[in-house]
Amino acid sequence: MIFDIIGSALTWVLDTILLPFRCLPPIWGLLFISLLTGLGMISIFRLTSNQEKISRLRKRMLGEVFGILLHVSSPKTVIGFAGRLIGSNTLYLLYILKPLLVIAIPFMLIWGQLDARYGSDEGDQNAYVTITVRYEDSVPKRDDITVSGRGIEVIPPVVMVDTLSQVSFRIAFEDGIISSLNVNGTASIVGSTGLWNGAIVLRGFDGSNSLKRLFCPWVGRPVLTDAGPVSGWYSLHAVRYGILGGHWSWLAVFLVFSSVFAIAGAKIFNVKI
Amino acid sequence: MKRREFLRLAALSPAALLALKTGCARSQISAKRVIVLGIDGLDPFLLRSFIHEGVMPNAARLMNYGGLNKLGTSNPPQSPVAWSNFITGFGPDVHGIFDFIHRKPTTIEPYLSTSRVVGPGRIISISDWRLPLSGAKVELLRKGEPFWNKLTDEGIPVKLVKLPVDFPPDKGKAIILSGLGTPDMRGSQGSFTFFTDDARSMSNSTSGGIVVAVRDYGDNCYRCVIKGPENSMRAGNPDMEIEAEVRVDRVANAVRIDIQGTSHVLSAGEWSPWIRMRFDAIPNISSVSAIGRFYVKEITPNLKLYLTPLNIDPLDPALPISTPASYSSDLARNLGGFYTQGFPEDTKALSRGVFSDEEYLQQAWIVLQERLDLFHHELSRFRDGLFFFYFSSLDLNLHMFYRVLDPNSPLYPTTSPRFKGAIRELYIQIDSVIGNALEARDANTEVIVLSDHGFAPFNRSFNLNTWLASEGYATITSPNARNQDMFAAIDWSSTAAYGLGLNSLFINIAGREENGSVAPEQVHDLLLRLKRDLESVTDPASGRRVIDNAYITSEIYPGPLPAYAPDMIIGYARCFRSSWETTLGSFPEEVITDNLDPWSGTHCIDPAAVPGVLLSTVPPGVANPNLMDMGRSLAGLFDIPVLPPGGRNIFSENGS
Repeated sequence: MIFDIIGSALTWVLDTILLPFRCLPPIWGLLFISLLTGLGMISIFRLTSNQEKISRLRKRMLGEVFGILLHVSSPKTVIGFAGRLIGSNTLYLLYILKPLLVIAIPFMLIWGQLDARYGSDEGDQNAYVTITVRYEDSVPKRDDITVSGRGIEVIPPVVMVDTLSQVSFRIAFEDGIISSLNVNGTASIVGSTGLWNGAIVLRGFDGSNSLKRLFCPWVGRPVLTDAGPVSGWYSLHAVRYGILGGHWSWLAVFLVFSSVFAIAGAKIFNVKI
Repeated sequence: MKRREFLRLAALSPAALLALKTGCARSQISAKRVIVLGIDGLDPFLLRSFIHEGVMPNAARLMNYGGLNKLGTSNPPQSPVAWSNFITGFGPDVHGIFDFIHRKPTTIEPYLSTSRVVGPGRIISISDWRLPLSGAKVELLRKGEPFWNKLTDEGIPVKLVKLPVDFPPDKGKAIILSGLGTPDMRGSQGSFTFFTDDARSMSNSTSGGIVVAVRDYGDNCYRCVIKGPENSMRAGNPDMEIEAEVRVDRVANAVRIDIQGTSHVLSAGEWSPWIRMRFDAIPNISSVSAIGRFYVKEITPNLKLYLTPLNIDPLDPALPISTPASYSSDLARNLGGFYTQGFPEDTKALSRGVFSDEEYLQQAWIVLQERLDLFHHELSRFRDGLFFFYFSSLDLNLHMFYRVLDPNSPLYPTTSPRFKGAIRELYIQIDSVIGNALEARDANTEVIVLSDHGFAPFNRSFNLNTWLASEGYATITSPNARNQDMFAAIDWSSTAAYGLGLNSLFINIAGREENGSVAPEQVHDLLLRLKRDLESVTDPASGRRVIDNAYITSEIYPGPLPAYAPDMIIGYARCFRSSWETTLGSFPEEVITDNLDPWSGTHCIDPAAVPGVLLSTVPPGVANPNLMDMGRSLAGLFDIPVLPPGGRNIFSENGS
């Protein structure tokens, strides 16, 4: 329950932040989030790290690098400086361990939210969406599988993949974008909201673990029955973003730009990293 | 400013802005609209017969304005040559396209005549990674200035959709989506993939596509490796690959295709929608997008799964297919995926038995439907200027189904009678397109329908190289290799002439060809002798002449010719054409054989036998209009000071 509340609150926060970007292509929202994340990461780093120690250590490391450069003709001295540099590097990693661990938690939460919003193509509303459901043990007999829905049309055939305890079928949306699906009594909301405004794209359901919903907000909570599937997912294309001649996954865009913004923030706000 | 004047301006400004935005203002400035339908292979004789039959009422309406005119085609009458004539107003001596394929004179290596890929200039190599410092590019090999430049220079909007022989598209001011000549993602003109575990379908042939053997290891799952384009960022340019898992439900007679995180459920006999596939050159950083459609031909007892050639994704094109670059993605956002390759109808899949007649027609119908959607979308947005739209369906389907029209075709008796209406149905569809164009017409709009050539039956195959060998113009040293491509059997030192391409004959000239044997001063006499001998060849089965005219290229195109130009262009008689084998330099046993390939119609014969069509709301003012006249004539319909230089203005009385 608590995870659902935290997840909903996080969704609301992201929805609010992205509100001004709803009319722009999704890449702008992603870049803005990268900017905020970069600045957020650098702020947390500043608050949770010992800036004085890091500053001193950086100066020492710089001295050790210069020591190597100035004594290239003396292998013994170079090895000595190199050994000290390795020690300093290890110390540096220890200094930044605490800030990194603190950053990791919001980062993972952000990761789930961003993947839900920017990871998948919203798909063609006129085309079929393939749905795959998974049963706990084995797939029921073919005649015992019932698929129905509200606001959707189920398109035959139903394909059984016994080796994976899965069943797949297609649906077409009849009206609206939020509809419901019922497979052997397991009911779930299906459909996707538009990617254009950076809202969450619903991509499946899972009844197994509440904690998962916090990190995977694209997974809905189904009403389960014993006979029905325990999880399901909808087939949507992964989306790529064209930047600087390359085609970047949302994760590559996020990692690169949040890092760039973090480094720029460190320069501007004089944070020692 | 007085208060009343300010209020008046304030009230008018939004209206003026709105008018500009909706294009109302522009349509009042430029009154003229010209709609041109380029119907590849529209045949004047078939058209007349269908009009008389009463199934083409719109063509009949259009015929009432300016008659049904035969339109002179190019020599040779091949689509790349003919459409280049249309675009430039000049012949092959100016635009440089003489055949579908050209050859490097020194090595006799063939290459596509219309475009080529130029690799990156400088490359940094790190281990087996190769990082290009400049991008590779594609070059259009057609020369000459397009006629529409004169229109765009005067500010007249020009839109050309699926324009042939313009890949990569011209970088001018016209809006262009390239058509015929646009390759697939593997750089070919269309290479399908056929996955099967049926031993009888296996083949080593790579003509038009590849057959990939797959196997079910007992888990009802086939792992199908899809080969994408070459990865120029890795040493040796290996093919980029992705894997599709095909899970089979034999009871439901259906499959689930899992590919790159998406799943697609299909029944036997069903086509998938366009599926986007990403091939990574550098994972997560550099990749190219392609689109393809699966067709489940059969599931039980054997899996037979067809994948279309990987098309350039119009939403995210890896190669330039439109000007401006955003045009193709705009279309894809509005219409979804569509065939971007130049030859969308998969004739090779039919020729190789991967498709049955019915399946081929189904695929051709998908292509036509896509093209119609594109046409209706663009016609509804057409406001002013020149709008050209190209249809390939008639051409490729006449190639494959001429056998249903001609009782003399060797395949006529074995073709099911239920396909006998296929061509008629296509003409009816084209008529509805003409009807759409006429409905969009107003007092300022002209509608013109033209084709690049007509059609003829292809019942008998002429093995030109075999004939040259039998008459002593070529020498075979390796009889066992005579069925191999690229002159594997030939002795160049005693060969005077060879055939390559559909209509081209070359003299093996010393100093031009690497192993040339004919002195340059002997060439003209040799050509005269060849012309006489070729024009006297008769078919022993019927006694009919095989070749109407053998044209000496330098006589019909007197300008300086490039070294790759053929020395002679063979104008076959109706019912005859060069064999497939001879076009790539092999030497089958017999000189003339029955054509048993479903590719049963042709236009690659004597140009006089296959004229194109001109239907127009503007009556032509001169006799014998020619495709080369059309650019100047279309430009002449607009009020511009300077017309394109090539051809005549057939819509003026004196042709100027």
